[in-house]
Amino acid sequence: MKIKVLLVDDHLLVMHGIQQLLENEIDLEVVNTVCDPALLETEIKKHNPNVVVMDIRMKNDNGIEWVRKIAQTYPTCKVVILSGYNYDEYIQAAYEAGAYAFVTKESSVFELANAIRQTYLGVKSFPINRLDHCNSPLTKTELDILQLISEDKTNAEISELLHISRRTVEHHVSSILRKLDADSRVGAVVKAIKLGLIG
Amino acid sequence: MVRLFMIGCCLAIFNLLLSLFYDIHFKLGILINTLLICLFIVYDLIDKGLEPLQMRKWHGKQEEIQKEKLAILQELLNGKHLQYCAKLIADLIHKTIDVSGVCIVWKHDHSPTVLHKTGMFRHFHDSELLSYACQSSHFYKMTMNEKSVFFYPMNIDDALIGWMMIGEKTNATVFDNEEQKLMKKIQMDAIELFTSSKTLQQIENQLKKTTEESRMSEQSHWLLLHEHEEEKRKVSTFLHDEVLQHLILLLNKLEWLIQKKNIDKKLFEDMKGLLQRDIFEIREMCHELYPVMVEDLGLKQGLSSLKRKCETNYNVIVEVNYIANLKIIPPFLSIQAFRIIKELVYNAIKHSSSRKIVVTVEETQQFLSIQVKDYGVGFKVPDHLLELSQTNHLGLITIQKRVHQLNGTLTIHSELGVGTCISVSLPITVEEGGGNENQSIISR
Repeated sequence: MKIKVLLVDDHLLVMHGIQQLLENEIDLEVVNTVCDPALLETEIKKHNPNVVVMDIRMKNDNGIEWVRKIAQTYPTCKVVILSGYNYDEYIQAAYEAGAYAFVTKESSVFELANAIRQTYLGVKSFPINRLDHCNSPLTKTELDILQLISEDKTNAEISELLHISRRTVEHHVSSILRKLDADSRVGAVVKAIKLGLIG
Repeated sequence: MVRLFMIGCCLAIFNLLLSLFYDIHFKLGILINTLLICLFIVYDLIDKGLEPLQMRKWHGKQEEIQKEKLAILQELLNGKHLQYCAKLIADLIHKTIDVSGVCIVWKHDHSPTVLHKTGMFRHFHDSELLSYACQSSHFYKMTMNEKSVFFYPMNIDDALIGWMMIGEKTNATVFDNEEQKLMKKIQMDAIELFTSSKTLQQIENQLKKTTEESRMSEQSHWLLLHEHEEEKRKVSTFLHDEVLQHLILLLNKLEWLIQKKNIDKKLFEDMKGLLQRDIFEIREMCHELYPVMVEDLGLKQGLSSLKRKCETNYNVIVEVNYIANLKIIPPFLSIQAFRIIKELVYNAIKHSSSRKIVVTVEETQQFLSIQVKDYGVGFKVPDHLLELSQTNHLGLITIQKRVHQLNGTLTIHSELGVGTCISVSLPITVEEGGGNENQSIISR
């Protein structure tokens, strides 16, 4: 028996892209796609899906509130949150509202399909950002940036020194913190010295 | 009538005395009486004839006062105020009566000051003169250095606004009736002039203040316009220099991939890295332009994300204390509060050099009270925040405008070398029919 999946997203193009990719999975069946959340309840009643894959934010609706409502009204129907935002606060809010999984939109279809399967089995799967990439090696740029952070350089100074945008520096810093499982810049430097990554 | 009665009485007394001491013939008596009556008539005629001359002199003085008064008013309108006004009044008194000196004391905000002094009063120190001027609001006379000095108080509606101290006449004679009348008139006119002068000064000060405020406000509007343009430029540069360039690069790599006809793992990793970086940067830009998380999850979660971002990108610890009171904060207010806090925190990071920033938010019954505190270098708080526009510091001005629009209050405490504490209080008013129900609930 295939897992019945209902897709809910007001970004039509993205939704159809996901639909195509999921249809390649032999154990999954996309029963319908819903653009307007107002039709969601009718569709749930009609298809009785096992898993609802839903965007966290739609133009006029709040995905978190819908998770709460579905979890209360249709307990057999489990929700997987698909999000354009990967902030910890959103992940936490989805978990508290009763979702079974949280997948970012840029994740591979393999990750999404896996989350749907886990959800169907009743296993919750949430990205624990820090653990996700923990212990994965730092890239050369990241090591350079880490060295500069240890020299008490600000992001603006690093951006000038390495000829990259300030926002790119921010991206690398946040990646360094995640990989080293650190809370702050100082924490990251201390850990890097302990690991012998920087002198 | 009174004059005739007086003449009659005088004649009767004269005849009575004459008859007591002399035995005068009736005819001679009539002759003397007739002569006396003639003398009275001649005196009366001469007196009446001289009266216009005396009146002319009085009118002359009056006109002179009037002319001086107009001159003083003119000077007042030209911006010369209290001191000049006092000098002119003293000159007028000197021109009108030959006095040994004039001193004019003005009671400004309960502390009397000597505005102008001439003649004998020049030998006295201001504080000495002020010690003589008592608080009496009635005319009185006293002796200073063995010379008589007359105090003419100036009152408006029972309130004492100052004194005119007039030294005795140079020939040491007393003021005659006419001079007293003139002094009374000068006193009245002086009161009128000082009142006008005070009003004018107040108007001018207000005008100066308003002009300065308007100039600063114009400057801040100009800077805001620039800031607005700069923001647009930033977004445009970001889209062009970052997103567009990366997309072009990706397209080139894709074409190369197709030409090679096999998937190179390294090339794929490169492309993936580029895309991931773009996704991160666009996400951050979106969050910066509009803090959608605050609308979706509430102010508390928005602040937690702000804390993480600051601690990741700057060497700073941000402590957030959120004291919730189960109040429904309208999403619009949450967004505004978040923008205010974000600006204050970034200001502290940028200017205070503090390694720790404490943000406290408390929901009370009617207000959302915000406090952002740092332990940095501090700054001198200007009397008017608009003054900051002169140094291109727009952050606090923007916050003040935002707080003003929300009917809130903004308080700044800063001490050099100790730190800065900025408090904002915003009234919580639920938007009527605003936002959707879900979002109002989630913004708790």
